[in-house]
Amino acid sequence: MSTLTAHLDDDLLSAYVDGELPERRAAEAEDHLAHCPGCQARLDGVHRVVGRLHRLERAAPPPLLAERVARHVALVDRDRSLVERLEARLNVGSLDSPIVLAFAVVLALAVIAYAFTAAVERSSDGGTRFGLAEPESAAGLVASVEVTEIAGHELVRQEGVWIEVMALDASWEPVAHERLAAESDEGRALLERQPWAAELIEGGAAGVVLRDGERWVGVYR
Amino acid sequence: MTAAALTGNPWSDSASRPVNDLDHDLEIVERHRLGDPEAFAEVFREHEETVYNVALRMSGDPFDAADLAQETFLRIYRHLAKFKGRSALKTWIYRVALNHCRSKLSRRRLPMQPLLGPDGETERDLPDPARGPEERAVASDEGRRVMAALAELPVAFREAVVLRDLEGLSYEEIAEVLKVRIGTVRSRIARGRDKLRTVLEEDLPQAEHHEETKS
Repeated sequence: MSTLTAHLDDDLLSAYVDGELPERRAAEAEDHLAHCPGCQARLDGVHRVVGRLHRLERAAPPPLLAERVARHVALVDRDRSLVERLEARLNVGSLDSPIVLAFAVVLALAVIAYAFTAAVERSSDGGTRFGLAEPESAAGLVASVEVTEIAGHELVRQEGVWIEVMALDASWEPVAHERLAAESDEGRALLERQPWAAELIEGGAAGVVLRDGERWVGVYR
Repeated sequence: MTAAALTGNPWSDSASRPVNDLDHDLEIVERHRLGDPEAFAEVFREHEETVYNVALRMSGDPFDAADLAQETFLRIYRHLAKFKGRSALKTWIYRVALNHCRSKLSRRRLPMQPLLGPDGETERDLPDPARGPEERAVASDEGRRVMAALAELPVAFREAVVLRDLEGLSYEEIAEVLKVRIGTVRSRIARGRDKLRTVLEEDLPQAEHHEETKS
């Protein structure tokens, strides 16, 4: 058996403690440790810290975690159902695709703008509402659509669902396309960055935020 | 899936099943795809403690850990149908949990658990009914010290140490979870432990006192 003459580095000592060295390498390390008080002392140091970590007891999850997860899962299901209804209404494929989603919303906005330019009336909260001149027009897409403006942001409402497309705040790092419940911490944090959204939140609006890295879309009802 | 279905017994039951059985994993995922609410409940039941403990060790705070665990399970719920079985479900869940913790920890620095409160009192104790108050206080103090030291580690080292020393994963499993090479795992564990030892042993007299108190 050969003996390691060089001192054992930290990686090797740590792997030795974990039994993660190949047999031959472990034997060499043992041989060296038997003759090197310095490396033995460092090995003792690794054992001490590992021992203290191992004595850290596992924590029991809080009893309310199950209930909280269940409640939020129910919200995800409800939001999913909401988005599915929107997809069906817009007669497009899955809104999971950001391109399809953006196309659907832009199309909806274009049709709405075309169909209702003549029917503007002021709403009581200072927003702008578009009445329905001919509900059956535009292939039924705009059957019960209204547009409102809150603090300069235009939102489209269709059958109780609000849609808003806007650019991401520059401070938000782009992330993969993601659907967030507006009630989730992350969804709420995202919405709270937009002062106008406070009105929706305070008004008890439920919905989802669809985010695709370049833009995010709030869907509310 | 209704809220009533989710808040039933399956959620609070801590029955255990084999967690490294790929057939079992794929069967659960398939049931989830087909809309069986009990499938996700099983995933939750089997991995609740793991996800919560990983979140706790990564964040260093039981309240943040509860939020992180909840959000992790929502991610799991949203993406479970896409699980292909290229790794064990347990590995995938570790990855989801750590990715989420990493993302949250990078956005805001989670408050580290203080060793002592402003008036010398310990704060935010997690009660352990199986122990007496005195024994609990000593264990809690030592646990708090180790948790605080862990929270000082860079995230990459903390992840590796948590997976190895607290979750008991092999180097190969850790490499799979973190999607890095085994050499990187070995180095992160060693460096993490070395930093931990430095931090913990700065406080050596107290630690020795703790050992003496125990014996």
